[in-house]
Amino acid sequence: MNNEFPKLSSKEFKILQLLISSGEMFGLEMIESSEGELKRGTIYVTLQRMGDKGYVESREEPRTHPEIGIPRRKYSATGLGEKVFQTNLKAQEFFNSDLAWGGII
Amino acid sequence: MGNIIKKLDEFRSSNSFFLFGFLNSFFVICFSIKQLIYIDRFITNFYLVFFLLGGILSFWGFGEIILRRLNNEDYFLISSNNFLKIADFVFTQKTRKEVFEPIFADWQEEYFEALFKKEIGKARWVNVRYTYAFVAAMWMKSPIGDLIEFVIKIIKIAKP
Repeated sequence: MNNEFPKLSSKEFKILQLLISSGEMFGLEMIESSEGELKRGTIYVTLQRMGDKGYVESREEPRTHPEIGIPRRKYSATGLGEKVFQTNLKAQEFFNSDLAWGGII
Repeated sequence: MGNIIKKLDEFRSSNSFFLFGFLNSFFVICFSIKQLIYIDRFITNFYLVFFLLGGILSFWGFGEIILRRLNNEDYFLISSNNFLKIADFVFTQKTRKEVFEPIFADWQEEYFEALFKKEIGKARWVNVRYTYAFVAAMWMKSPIGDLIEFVIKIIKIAKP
């Protein structure tokens, strides 16, 4: 078993945050919701890496109006993705708290 | 004069110019990276001129050609096929399906939405934006891109 702490990059953290709060989303929806944090050129590379790690899963959504063109992909967070996100969130909260610094700050 | 303009238009719509624009975008990224590495000094004037020319040509050539092709009924399939052929040559089917096809799907979505609203300027901008997105994704997925990112990290760490 791999006991290494699953650290998320800022982009991965944002993607999981969006997917957990909003459910299934298209890549473009994530870009629009991220307010400039996620870019068109990098989001799918990041999503692919996250898919390989088992944090997200995707399915093809056929086009409806019009019914031509490349089908779009909808992404959702997996159970592991949610767990990793919660772990990172807690670690971040702890790091920012007084407790982590023994009341120094 | 009219003949020359017609010839120029033909050239601008040709596949060779399409490839030229694509290569230029690639060079622009290469020089940007080089500039990032040597952050403390500006790269020689030659590179600067090349960088600017590359940027202008990418916008003018690449964006314009894509827009021209969009005016043909069967444009989009032809163009995305051209891009995807380049991706097929370098990357696996998995990467094509999970990285490049979603980019084109979004491209189509935004482009047709702009056309539907008759916002030609926005459609033009969408083309430029996604051309850049495609090149950026190619760069991120390429082993050279990974290697240069690794070198940049090392340089940043090593800097006093």
